[in-house]
Amino acid sequence: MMMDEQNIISGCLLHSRKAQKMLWEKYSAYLLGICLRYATDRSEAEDILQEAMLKIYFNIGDYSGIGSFKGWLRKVTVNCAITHYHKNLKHKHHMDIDDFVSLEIGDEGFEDDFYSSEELYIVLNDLPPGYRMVFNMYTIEGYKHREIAEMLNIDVNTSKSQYSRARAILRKKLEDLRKTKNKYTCEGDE
Amino acid sequence: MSDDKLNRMEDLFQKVLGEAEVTPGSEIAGKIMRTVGRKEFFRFNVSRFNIWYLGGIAVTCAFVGIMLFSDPGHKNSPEFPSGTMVSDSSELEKKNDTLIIIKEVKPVRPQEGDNSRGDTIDAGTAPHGTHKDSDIRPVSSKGTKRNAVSIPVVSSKEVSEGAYVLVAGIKASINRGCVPLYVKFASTSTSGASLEWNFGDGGTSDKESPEWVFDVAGVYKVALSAKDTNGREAVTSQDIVVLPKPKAAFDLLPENPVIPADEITFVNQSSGAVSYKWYFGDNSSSQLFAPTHKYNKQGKYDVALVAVSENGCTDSLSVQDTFTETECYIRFPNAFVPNRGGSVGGYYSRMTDNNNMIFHPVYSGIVDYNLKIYSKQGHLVFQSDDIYLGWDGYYHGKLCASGVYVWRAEGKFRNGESYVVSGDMTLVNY
Repeated sequence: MMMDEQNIISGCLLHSRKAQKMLWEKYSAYLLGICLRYATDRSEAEDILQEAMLKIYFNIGDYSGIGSFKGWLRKVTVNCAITHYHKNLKHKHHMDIDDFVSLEIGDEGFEDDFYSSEELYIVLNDLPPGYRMVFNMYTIEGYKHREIAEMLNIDVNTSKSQYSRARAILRKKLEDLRKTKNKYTCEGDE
Repeated sequence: MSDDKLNRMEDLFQKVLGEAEVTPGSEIAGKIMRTVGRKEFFRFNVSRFNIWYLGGIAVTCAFVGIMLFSDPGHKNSPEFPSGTMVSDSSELEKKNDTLIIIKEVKPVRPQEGDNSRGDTIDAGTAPHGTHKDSDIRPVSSKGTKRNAVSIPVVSSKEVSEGAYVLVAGIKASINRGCVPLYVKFASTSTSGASLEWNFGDGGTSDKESPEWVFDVAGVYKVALSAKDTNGREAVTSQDIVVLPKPKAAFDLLPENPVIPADEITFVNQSSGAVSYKWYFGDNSSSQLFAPTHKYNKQGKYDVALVAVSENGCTDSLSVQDTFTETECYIRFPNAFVPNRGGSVGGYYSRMTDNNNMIFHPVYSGIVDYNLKIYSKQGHLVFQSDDIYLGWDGYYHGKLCASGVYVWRAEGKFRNGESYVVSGDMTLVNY
């Protein structure tokens, strides 16, 4: 496995078409999974993926060899998503009014196998782009609010408030989703 | 719902989506690979075919092509006529960025009823020298007799029948002459084309019929480029030979001759000439290199020399009133130092008497002369009728004493005036 990764990297460094294909086969699903979290829909995710792949292919020399290759790929992809977000900011800078309505927040836990990844993607994709960016970067990528503020070129407090609003919206959506799901399952059971 | 399955929402997302994989569709893979391929093509890489290889091949092909075609072309066509034609084949422009390379000389049949084309090429610019028949055929059997013979240079591409042809042509009023050479150029190019002349000496023009003066001898390649609005270009050039000029110059011997007494030698100091013609100003002339001439009477004569170089260029020098009446004068010094070793005779030369041992005048235009020298006691110690004979300070073989002596000179100048001058001078004997 390690050897395989090494071969891909050295092949891509020489711009070998075969190695590029192998890299695609091995990592494209993983990278698209990242892209989907940052996108509004699938086609946008694919756009981000394309930009990320080009970056990866032509800048593979930047990978220092220290740290996991997968981690590097993820970083490049997230950066591409951020760039993409900035590029399209002006087109998407609108929000539904009810997104701002403060929501009742229950503090219940969630069973992780209750929701499918598709459902979670849909919930994420429905978030306003700014919220989605902050939520993704904070929760999954593990960036600090200070770093997020720097990368997204926003205030630290904006990052924090967007994060908490994103959480609230997500929580409500998940609750709604559970209710409908439970309803159908109950009906189905009886 | 067991407790350990209850998670914070964040953990849920991290767990489910953190490493989630979504297989992309095959069409997106193809799209990305195509984009990568396109970018790779424009990137330098030795291990795959890309634009650099393509460019290298194109350059090599072009180079080989030029080598193959231009070499025999040079040998076979020693001179290019001034009319240059470029065919209207658009692929030519598209495929080659380089200028059209003139490789072959090809005849073009003038179109029937199209006189404008026939007129555009000047018969005088037809190539001289011999050409092989395979290279140049006359326009038509009659064409050689007509004034408007066109033997244009055509690019290697074929001139398609009836195609619009861009022609650059030069007509010069003179293409060989002496410096300074004034040339009137005219363009015989296709009308409407924008012209650019380069006269080969740094001068340029964009006029239809520029005029130019070449003031330094040499061979100048006058180039004309005609461009039409489609960006096509036809170029032609013509050599203008500017021949050097000789320089006429002469001197007189003697320097200040007396007319009509002296026979004058004209010293030729011309350069770059092979034949000469002298005009002495008295209706006589000579073709000698350095003639001598004697005038019959005094007067104003304008002497002219025309020098002709081997290629026929001329230069002339005319001196008006060459033998100006020089001023007549006579002047004596006020001291001299005789030679103590013995009499030196008294004859002197103006050129050699630097020791001031002989008492004599400086003069000009003297025809009659008499000098008498007296001591303070009134003794006549010397007298002479010869202007070339001065006093050496001896009287009857004995050196005279130091002291002041008195002199008197009288006579006539050349212009007829008589003179009487007198004075004293000191004989220095130590």
